[in-house]
Amino acid sequence: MNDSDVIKVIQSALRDVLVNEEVVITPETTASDVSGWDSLTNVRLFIAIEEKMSLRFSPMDLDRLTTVGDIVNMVQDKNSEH
Amino acid sequence: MELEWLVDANAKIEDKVNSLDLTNESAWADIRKILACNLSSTYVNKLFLAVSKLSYKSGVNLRMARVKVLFVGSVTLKHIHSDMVIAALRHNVWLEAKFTNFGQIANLAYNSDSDVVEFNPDLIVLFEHSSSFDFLSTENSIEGAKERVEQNLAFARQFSKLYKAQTVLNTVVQPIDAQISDMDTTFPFTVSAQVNCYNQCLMRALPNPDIILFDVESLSAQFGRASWGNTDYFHYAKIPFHPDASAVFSNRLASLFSAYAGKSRRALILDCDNTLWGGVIGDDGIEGISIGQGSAIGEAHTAVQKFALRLREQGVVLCISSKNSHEIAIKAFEDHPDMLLKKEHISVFRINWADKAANISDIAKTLNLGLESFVFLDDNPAERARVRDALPEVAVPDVGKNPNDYPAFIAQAGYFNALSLNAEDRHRADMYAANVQRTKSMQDMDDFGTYLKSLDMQISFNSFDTTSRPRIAQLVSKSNQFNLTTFRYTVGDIAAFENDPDAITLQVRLKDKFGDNGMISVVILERISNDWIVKLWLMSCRVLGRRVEEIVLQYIVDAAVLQSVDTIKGVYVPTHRNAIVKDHYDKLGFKKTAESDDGTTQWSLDPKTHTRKDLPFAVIDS
Repeated sequence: MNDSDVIKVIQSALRDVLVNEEVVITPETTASDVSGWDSLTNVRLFIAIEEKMSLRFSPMDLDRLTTVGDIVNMVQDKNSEH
Repeated sequence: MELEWLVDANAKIEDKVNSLDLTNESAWADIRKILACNLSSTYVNKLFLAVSKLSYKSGVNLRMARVKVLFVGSVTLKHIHSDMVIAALRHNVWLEAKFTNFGQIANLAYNSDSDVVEFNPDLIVLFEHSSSFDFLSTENSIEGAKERVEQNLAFARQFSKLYKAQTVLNTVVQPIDAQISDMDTTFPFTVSAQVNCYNQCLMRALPNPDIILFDVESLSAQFGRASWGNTDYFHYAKIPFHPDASAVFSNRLASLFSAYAGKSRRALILDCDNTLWGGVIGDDGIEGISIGQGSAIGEAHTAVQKFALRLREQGVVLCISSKNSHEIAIKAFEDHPDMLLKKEHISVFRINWADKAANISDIAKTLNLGLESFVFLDDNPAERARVRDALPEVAVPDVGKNPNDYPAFIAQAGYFNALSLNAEDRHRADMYAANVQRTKSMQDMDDFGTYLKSLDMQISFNSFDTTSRPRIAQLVSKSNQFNLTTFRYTVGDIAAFENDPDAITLQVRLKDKFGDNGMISVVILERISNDWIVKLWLMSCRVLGRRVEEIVLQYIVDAAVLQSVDTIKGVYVPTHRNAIVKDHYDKLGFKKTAESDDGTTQWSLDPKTHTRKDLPFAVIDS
């Protein structure tokens, strides 16, 4: 999967969680850029990404995430681990 | 993670969620059909949003009880709000949930909170997690656990006083790194000992009018504590169990809410063949079915019966809905030495050849219980689909072919959760008079025809051949009920028919969307001058009620017309097993031409006068 595919998955998950089909994200997007993106959103987003992409995050991963780009990088790292 | 007793998540159900029209009266039937399936988190969310737009008073959800729950405690549960609402719907509960912030408990308990008063909760879930225990303090650790129970009981007393709400208190789950040595539970300063002590003290405080017990410890063990207790999400966001366990947690808690609201299911309707015993009693006879006796299948079915009896002990009413001749199947309950379930354990019997959905409706009327009170256990996927479609309020666990799963699926689904059991509950089943009735007539379900079409049945007709000979011979020698003449042709006879120019032979195979039923009917006709005489017509009872005999006749008639046959003749030779086909030829439009004292009847049909019918089959070429 290339980076833009991963962003599509994250965007789709975020749209589900925020109940907002208009949300658009880029690698630079952070939580503060998106209305309604709070800590609960984080939790539900990560659970959704784990479910959609069949992978597991660890606390080291979760602490380090600031931007969408960080999430994409982490997903790609995990995929290349296999 | 998916719940095993629900139908697998699928695209068809997702489409149903997308196209839900809540202004439509049939929306709730659709919602119940959706709820019979697992849903991905995307669709749990969508369904949650859809039903959130409805108010409880909208009138369409009459069969639900509304329960208002406030969640307090030092852990995060808000992330599974939608999972819990959907789980609650499965258990006939309309859940309205509110979540407080961390560390609010003492405040809420000792100072009346106006928001809570306004919300007016029925229940307060005070979720306790092992992280609140001070495991590093080695002094008075057992005392610490006892004190914690006392504190939570005090909160519960306060919640009762201030908000008239009962408190749900859970048993604490042992952390996954708890056990260091096997003696840990005996060392009072260890994690294991403290958690054990907390749980035991909590249970010793029951019964208590302020409390409802939620046995999360058992649930986590059932789920698999290694997965449940993975701390990735706990350390990230104080989520007390790994998200993989969310579905199981939500389901169990929902069943507890249902028990609180008096909406737990009340009755279990059981199929017989391949559910209570191995085999088909109509074909195998009472001596041929498998119960107990050291066979793997027999023992598995005995376990199903034992489980049913345990349910009965806990106030669940047992009923039977089986496609069989009543006289034949009831014998198992009366005479079979290994049957644990006896007639007196069953409140209603519906053993007949009619549609199971109609029978279940009838059972509900007889017991004066709503359809949402029932669970239906049947090994046959076609029957399960039929009941789910016709009666969406009935819970139909998606058991597979393995009877070893049946008790576990029902137990884990939590259909029959209860807050208490008194003597009256335990003997409730006895209160319903045992009801052994032959069905006189049953209202046809309007959509039974639609149901048959939905099976996507594919039927194929071939003459006898060498490869099929063993299976044909087996059916010829073993079929007892749907067998017009019961001629026991030998393998040699069958081989001779293969090459006999005056024999018209048919082996009929049936597939439906659930799988391949294989060969289900055998017919042998003999040509004598311009007539065809039916020498043998048998069919597997598994496919009774599907109009197979009509399409078989259609095939025979078409062939007869092509060959300028004047008359098709048939005879019914009565035996003590084949009473169900006494009227077979009459139903197919034949005229009776003779009847003798012993009950043998002769029939004939002019193939040119036969009217074609629209039958729910696709005929496939061999």
